[in-house]
Amino acid sequence: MAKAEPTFAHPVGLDIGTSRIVSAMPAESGYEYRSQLNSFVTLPNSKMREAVLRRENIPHTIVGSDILVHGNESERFADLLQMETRRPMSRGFINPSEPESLSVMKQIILSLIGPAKQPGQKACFSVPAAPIGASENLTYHEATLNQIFGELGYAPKSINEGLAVVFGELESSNYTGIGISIGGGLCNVCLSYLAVPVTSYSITKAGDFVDSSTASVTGELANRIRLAKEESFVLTGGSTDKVHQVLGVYYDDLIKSLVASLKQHFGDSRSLPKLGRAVPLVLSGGSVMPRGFREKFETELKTADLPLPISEIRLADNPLLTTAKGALIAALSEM
Amino acid sequence: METPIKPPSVIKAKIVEQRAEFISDPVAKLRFIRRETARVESTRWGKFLDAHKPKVTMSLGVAAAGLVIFAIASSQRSVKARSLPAVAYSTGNPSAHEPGSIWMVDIRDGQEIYSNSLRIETRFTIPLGEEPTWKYNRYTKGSKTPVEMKDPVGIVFHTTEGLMAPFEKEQNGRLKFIGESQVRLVRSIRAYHYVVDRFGQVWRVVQESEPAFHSGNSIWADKDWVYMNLNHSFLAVSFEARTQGEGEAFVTEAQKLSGKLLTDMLRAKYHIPFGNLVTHGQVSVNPDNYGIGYHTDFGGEFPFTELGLPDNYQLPPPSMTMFGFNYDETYLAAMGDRVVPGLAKAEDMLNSQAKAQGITPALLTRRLRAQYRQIFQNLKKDNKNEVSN
Repeated sequence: MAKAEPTFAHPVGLDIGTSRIVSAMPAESGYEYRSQLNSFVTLPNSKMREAVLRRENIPHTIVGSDILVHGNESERFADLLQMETRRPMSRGFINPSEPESLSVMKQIILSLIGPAKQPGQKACFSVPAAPIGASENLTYHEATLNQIFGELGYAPKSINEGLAVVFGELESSNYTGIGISIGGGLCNVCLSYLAVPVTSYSITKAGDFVDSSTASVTGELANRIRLAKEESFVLTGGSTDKVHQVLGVYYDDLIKSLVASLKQHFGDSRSLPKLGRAVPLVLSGGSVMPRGFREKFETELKTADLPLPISEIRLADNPLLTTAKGALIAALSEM
Repeated sequence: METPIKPPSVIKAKIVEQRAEFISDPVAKLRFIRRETARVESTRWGKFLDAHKPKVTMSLGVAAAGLVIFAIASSQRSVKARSLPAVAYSTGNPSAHEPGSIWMVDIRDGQEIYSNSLRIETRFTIPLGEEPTWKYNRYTKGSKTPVEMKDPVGIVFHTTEGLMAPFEKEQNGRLKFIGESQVRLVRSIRAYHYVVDRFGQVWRVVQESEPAFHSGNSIWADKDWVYMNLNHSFLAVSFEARTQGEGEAFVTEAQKLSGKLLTDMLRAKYHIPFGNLVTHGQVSVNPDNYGIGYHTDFGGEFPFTELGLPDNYQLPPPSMTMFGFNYDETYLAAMGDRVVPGLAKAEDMLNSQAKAQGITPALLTRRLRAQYRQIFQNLKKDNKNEVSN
């Protein structure tokens, strides 16, 4: 990732995900992205340890007798110390049972975009669509993030995560189509018609479900499962590796659940506009990265007979960055 | 969170998309599309009416009738139902006039010339039967006395809502280009029978004997009949204009003049009564939420008086009085004070009906809506290939 600091108060876009926080800002040739894992580990505080962390430039915060190492370094420490990372967010929302959630997220966001360069600098951040029956989670989540950005001097505005995917990827169809973000905690879906979010929803089955289910079957740590998934997993079957086999089973389950939700949601919806043509569908988020994901999803979708005709199914150009890019485009479009 | 907003209509969406194609920068494109499509989500109505309700009790001139018993009449042209609560009608415009006899004088150089000086450009007229997929759908549900309509019974006035250049001499080339582009667009989607461009040129696009896709979900009524899906019973005249123009004259003087000549000709030809000359904003409905004014073309600015017509904004919307539809603050904001007397009349009529039947207005509304839903489902079945607007 580029290290240059932003030099003027242009808007920033952020993907606030369960597993990662990604920022986007305008750069001379396009956009500049930064990313940090949305996780941390706790180490016992000692002067020597703190000095080492400072010398190595590792992001950390002292909280009482603990040192919290957050962001990308947290995973390395967790692996070294054979422990699970802790998460400020769970299933797409701020984790209510994690007391350090807010302070850690604030530090991670600060490390990505710094404080506002001038009061009122725009920050557009992604929020999930509320899972059915859990809208109160969204209210708290959104309000808390507004507070964090406000404390950093920004003028915050939220954007539905699926819509951000549409803004990030579907410019060629005039922002008409389906954006799906499959992250750690949630699958977010949004149907947009000329940039109007016609309908959006989320399901609570995504990357973390795959990781934790696989971990429980194989006895591995979920961190290690995620590393294995990101480094070498291919979703086309035929692997003799047990972890990969189990990952394949749970990915199948994830894709089937997502397709079933699409069918149910779009089949039931009375408010779908008359589009008069097939629309593109774009897949983004870290959980779509394994090779073969798009093909498997397409095969499953074909059998589902979705009431909405789909013209193409494709992966985002860079699935990890799409949501942040879309949030930034939304912010820039309001200037 | 993003504010949920109403998606644009098919026609407006096509116009927006056509223009968006010329924008290559994604941010500029998004800014343009959002500006063009943004509408605030409707909120429940109520207080506004109280604040604007006329102080003088209006004479309804209608007997409170029982529930409407629909003698749904249908033909290959239209769906009609017998209307019980007849609308009291007063022109409110002393200069409103009957057009008298108007005839075609000549046809030359792609123009029809009429005895009242109207000229109709026919270069872009769709030949009869060019669209082989079109067919008139028969609707028989609930029909007791089917009636086949030979001619259109009214006119719905629309706005094209397309790109607008300043109406200045220096912009002449651009104005001509935009006007013609919009006529071509209207032709490609059979949107209207006539387009009146900003120079006052009248373009016939869809022939009067065939429907245009201009007012799919819509309701209107006269003293004898109620019409649903006005594509099949009303002609469409669209003015090249935008409902929310930016400091420009809403329609030009040339458009008013030509609009009057065209309206006079059509009225004379089809014996169209005053009460069936209405704007899209008066007839458009949203069946999903029983809201009136899904489209609000012209807002409250249609120049009825300049066209020699009564101020029909004062008529109570039949969608309310006969089918229990409602308006909201968004509708009022878009249409302005001119529609308030009509809405108040409609409310009074509903209350009177409910009182006469010994039921609450809420129950009456539910019953009316149930009737509408039944008819609507059948309409949908019959018109499944139709582009709704």
